Amino acid sequence: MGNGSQKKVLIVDDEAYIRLLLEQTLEELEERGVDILKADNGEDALRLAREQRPRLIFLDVMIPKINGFEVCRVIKQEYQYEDTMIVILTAKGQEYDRQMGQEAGANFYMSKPFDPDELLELATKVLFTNDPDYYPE
Amino acid sequence: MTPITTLNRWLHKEGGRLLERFLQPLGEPLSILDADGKPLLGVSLDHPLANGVRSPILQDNLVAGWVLSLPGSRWGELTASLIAYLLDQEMQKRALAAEALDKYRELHLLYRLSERLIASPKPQLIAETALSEICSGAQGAHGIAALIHKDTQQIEIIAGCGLSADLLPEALAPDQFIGRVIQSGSAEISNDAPANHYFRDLDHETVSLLCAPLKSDTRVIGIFVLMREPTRPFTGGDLKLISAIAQQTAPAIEIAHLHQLEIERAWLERDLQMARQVQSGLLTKQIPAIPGWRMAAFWRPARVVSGDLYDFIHLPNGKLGLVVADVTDKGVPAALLMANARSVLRGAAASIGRSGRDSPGKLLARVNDVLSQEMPMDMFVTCLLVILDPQTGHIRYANAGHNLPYLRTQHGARELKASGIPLGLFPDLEYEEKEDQLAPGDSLLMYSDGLVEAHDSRREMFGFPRLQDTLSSLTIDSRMEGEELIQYLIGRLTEFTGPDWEQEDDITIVTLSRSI
Repeated sequence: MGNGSQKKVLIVDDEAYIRLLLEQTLEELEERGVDILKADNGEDALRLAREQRPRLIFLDVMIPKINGFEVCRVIKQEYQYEDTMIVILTAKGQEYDRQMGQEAGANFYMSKPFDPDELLELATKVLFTNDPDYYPE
Repeated sequence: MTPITTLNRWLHKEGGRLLERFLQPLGEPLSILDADGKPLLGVSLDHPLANGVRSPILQDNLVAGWVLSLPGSRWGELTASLIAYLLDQEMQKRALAAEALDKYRELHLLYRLSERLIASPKPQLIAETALSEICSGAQGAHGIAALIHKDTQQIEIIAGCGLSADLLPEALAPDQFIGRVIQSGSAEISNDAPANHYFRDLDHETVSLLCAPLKSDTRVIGIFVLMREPTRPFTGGDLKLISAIAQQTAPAIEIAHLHQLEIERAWLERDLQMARQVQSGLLTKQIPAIPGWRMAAFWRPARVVSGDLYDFIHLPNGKLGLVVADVTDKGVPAALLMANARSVLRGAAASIGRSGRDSPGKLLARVNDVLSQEMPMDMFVTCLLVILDPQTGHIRYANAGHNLPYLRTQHGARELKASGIPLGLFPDLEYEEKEDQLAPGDSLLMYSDGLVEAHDSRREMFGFPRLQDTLSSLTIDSRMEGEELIQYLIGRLTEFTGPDWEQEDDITIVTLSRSI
């Protein structure tokens, strides 16, 4: 597990309202001391990932500058980010995206509209438990 | 999140960075403390500033934190006002985000529901799915889904979520809360409702209720009734959400319900076709072939199955029994009785035949005794029984309320009259017995009322005189007998009724002709 990365979550989406909704969904975690970081493009996402080393990243696919799959691939390839869990967020029914996400090394896949309860549960388990189910190979 | 927590979190993040940039160029010692006086930003408490002046950061008249400044400095109060303003903005942003998340939750719920509804083939499953979504969304709610029968307006509960209590019939009265929703088609809330007005066996005295209609294009097909403890009233938001779910669910329930009815109808149809096969199997296929005689039979139910019956029974003494009978009513009940009547008739004929006495009157009396014990109220069987001696052409007959047969001779067609009460109404009856003679060329026509009571498009009946005239018009020389005679009669009937005629009653015809 990376140093300190378990207490940071990075939200990457170019749509402001989705960032807002994700942040609000994770408010409970914020109260438990988790830092919520946000980026609206792939470049900032990579920079924040390198600097802050978040434990969990919610990553939209269609984002400016560097697309979500590429961001995912780079993060997963760079050794020091190996503990970072990446959740690909994409529009409903895009099965092709799911496959691309898997190929890029994403750990989870969630379709929008996302289920806030499910998303919070996932984040809580990734950040606060060592449940092996949440550490897929 | 309270103003105190919000201030702490905000200062920890972008607020802290902003204020540091703001305070530094001032060159003024300032410190920001939380509501309990612990430092959040600025100098530590061992600095002389610890004894400075505290200006409150107010949010809705609550102290969310303090700004500590040197006595006499105007920056303390100004900074506190600025932070209070920014905190207010942050609080509003968070409130908006919370509200947006609630809406998003609803959106997701409706989205997921629509996915799950498509996958549910049964109305009960659809209602259960929708209810479980509602109950998980409107926290602490229990509920039922009920369908309203189109014709009777009876309520049928098809799904429940944490609530098994029965709805009281009184609750559906138009002046009651639930009845009003059914009448108006608009969802309503009744917080603090008396529980015993609506539900049987519920522990609470009062409950919060929400009732939403399930509407099709033309009517209210059902309702969702949601209940919560009186301490948790339903809100306008609940009303909107549950109405939206009901609106989305109703067409799916209706389609599934129609689909289910269609499946049931198809099963019933299959059963009826089987019943028809069984029933037609009961009717004699092999028309007796007796030298010097020609016989034919025709049987056409008005529905899939029939209450009509014909039979040819060979008696041990070489004579032949010919039967045409008609059970009151049509369809399945009549068909079941028809099968029973046939068995009883055959049984009775066999025993009488063995005794050597072949009295049709006595035979009908015996059949009547059996049937009158078994027959349901208001049902009976009319029956004509003719016993033919093929050697001589002599017939003996008895009639239990059936249409009079016609004997067509060279002098025209005449009725063979014998009277009697239909079978199955009263026991211990006697039946008048008559006899006659068929000469070569003569024909006997036995039939059920479906033939004579057929109507044309002007509602005029085919009737006995027309049948008698039709028969009389056939001279013996025409040799119209057997199948040809039946087809001729059906041809005349079709001419009369027209091609679009929907057969009103079962039709049975039996003909017996003596060859020349």
